[in-house]
Amino acid sequence: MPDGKHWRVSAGVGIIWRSWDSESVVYESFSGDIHSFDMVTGAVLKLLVQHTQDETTLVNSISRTLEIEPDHSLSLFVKQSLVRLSGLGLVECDK
Amino acid sequence: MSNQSDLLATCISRPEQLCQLSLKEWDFLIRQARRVSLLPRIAYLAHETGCYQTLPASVVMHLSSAWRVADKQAKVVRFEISNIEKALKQLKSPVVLLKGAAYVAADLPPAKGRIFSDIDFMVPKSDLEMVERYMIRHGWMATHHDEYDQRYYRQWMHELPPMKHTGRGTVVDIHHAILPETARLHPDSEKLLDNIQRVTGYENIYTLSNIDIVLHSATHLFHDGELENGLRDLVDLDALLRHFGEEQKFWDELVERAAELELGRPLYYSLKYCSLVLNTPVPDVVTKAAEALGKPPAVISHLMDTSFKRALKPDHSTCDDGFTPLARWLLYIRSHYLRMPLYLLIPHLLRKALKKHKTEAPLAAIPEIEKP
Amino acid sequence: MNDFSTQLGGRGLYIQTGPFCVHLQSSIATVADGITQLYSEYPSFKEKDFADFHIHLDTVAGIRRLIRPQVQFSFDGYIPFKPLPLDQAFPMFEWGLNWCVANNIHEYLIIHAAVIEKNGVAAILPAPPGSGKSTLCAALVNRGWRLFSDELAMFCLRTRMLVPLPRPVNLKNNSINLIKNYAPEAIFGREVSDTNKGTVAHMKAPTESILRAAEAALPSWIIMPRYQEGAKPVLESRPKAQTCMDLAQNSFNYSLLAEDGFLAISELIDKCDCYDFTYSQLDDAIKIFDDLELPQ
Repeated sequence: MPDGKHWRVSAGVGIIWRSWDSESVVYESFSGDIHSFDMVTGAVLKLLVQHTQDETTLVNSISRTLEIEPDHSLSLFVKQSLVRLSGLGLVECDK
Repeated sequence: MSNQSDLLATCISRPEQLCQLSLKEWDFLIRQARRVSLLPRIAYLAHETGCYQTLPASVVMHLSSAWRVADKQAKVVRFEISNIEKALKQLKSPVVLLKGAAYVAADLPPAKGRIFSDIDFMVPKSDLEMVERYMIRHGWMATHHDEYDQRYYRQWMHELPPMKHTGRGTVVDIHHAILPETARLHPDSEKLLDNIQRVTGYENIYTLSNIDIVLHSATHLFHDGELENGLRDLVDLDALLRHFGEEQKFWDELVERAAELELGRPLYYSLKYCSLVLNTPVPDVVTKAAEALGKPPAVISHLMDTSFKRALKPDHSTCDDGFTPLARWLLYIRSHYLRMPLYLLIPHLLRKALKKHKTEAPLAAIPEIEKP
Repeated sequence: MNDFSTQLGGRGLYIQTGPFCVHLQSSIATVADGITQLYSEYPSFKEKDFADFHIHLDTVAGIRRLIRPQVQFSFDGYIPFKPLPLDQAFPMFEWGLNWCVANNIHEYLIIHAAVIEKNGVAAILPAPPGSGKSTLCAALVNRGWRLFSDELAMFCLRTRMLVPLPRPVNLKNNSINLIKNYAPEAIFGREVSDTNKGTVAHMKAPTESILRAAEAALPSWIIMPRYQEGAKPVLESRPKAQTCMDLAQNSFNYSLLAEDGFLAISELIDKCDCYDFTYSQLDDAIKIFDDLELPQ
């Protein structure tokens, strides 16, 4: 469950976006890596690029932008996205 | 343009010459520079002189391609420095970048158009094991699995066996001193660590002091290395001397510090060959003081002169004369002789010679290309 | 026939292929034969002030050459590969030249792909080995498409156009006879067996491709071909994001080009229609390629 932790884009990370259909491809300039993201993960990263926020706020924002119900499965999607994004070193949260 | 074998050195010390080269001279220059990893440096210098736009298209294609390689390498180095800082975040002692990584982090002039093979840093010897553990935890692994190699590094060298990142393939060399334990000179690592300076933008990343950066570069070239990248390393030194030498204080303290660290001989050679090959400006009084401190006896001086003058030219067919192979071999033996006593040296070189046959010609990393 | 062998064995021959001038020196007879058969239509010179690549192919010195003669590829004194059996000298020239381009030329985004052109627009065919990319490419260039390359797609970062590097097409095993039957007029070099790809032979680039080597083209289609025995020809639209990742994966210097590499790849994806293409009959494939529609 959301625990109030704040998520943000990791220090040094620079992002270039391209979107085709519902998928996004992201180039990260610090590492030079390229990633392909599904709709939710792409949206999570896009929101965090705009500003730091906690998980609950993220779920609500995504529900608004993608017009999906902010239900349990969306929370789960968001959680998975955050795990993936932090595994890639793109986002981090306060300890 | 003067002698073909001096073409590269001439263009580096007087880049304005680049604007007047004939196409044939560009052909020679690009080949020589590529061989000694100085092609991106030439690209940088051509850019600085402002004549880049007037160069023939085929020349520009090779120069900009080389520049892109160096630019990417600098990006990789900056990314890895930040990864190293993260990996060693719990370390109490400072992480001191050496050589190329230090030039990039501190944005020093030799960083412009420089090619890297690895990233070097130094930590106090007492922390070496802990550092190795942290690095392993963050994805780096020892590269030399051979028991002899492991022992060779751990017992006699001033560094751990190189570590390679399992995901990204980048290689780091972790030092605890700037020369091997068995070497004939013993610059005191503690004295070096006393004078380090923190790099802006990092919490725990340092470089040596300006003077020590020069002395380390000198030591690496004239005491430790095999001069395979001789001219490239001399270009580093030249750029450092020109940059730091803008301050009088640097020259005032240079020779004294060399004496303190027992590095008079490499300093003497550095100043001599920098000014000889690349016209590096060195104040007379400093040249004389370095001579008094580090000039070898006449016989040695003469032999070294004959050898260095050849080894500091590009290792390319357009530059060799009859003595070049012997000169390179002598310097190879010398570099190892300076590293370790003879009773260790002979078996070591034999082993190296035998092993060489097993692992010749590594294929450059290119995915999937139609390669034999 | 001509004096290529004397020239190659002496001061070397300068050959212009696409944007590159290659200076080749070799005393090996099969190299001279290969150059004579496959490169006689390219601009070539006995002297030139400048070459992009200085290449030597020589027999390896030493006692072993008496029993098992070998050839060594040298890029201006640098030896990137282990020697190969002497018989493979000409294929080694072709492979080595690909290596030289992919490792040293970064004013282009270079992708491991075949490229063919018609009416000023080009199709990029990236594909892993075994997909029949070279076979398909060889068939298309014998039926009215112009050969850019069967191996290296070069997208110029300056002009944003695909640039031709028309060189002999490298065919393997069954494909050799397949294309020899399909296009009896095509000229082939000698077959070399027992390479690590099996038997290989090079097909000469069609004359028109060689003559028009300076004419670039706009990228219009990215097509991932897949040969499947007995399959009906199927051309299916392919997700662009995935194609972007695949192009990056198949590029030699995308990572080196950093941001410029990503911008170049995404521009290709923006401009091109992307397809998966499964086929078994070359004639079906030609029909489908000829009917391709320009992207919106």
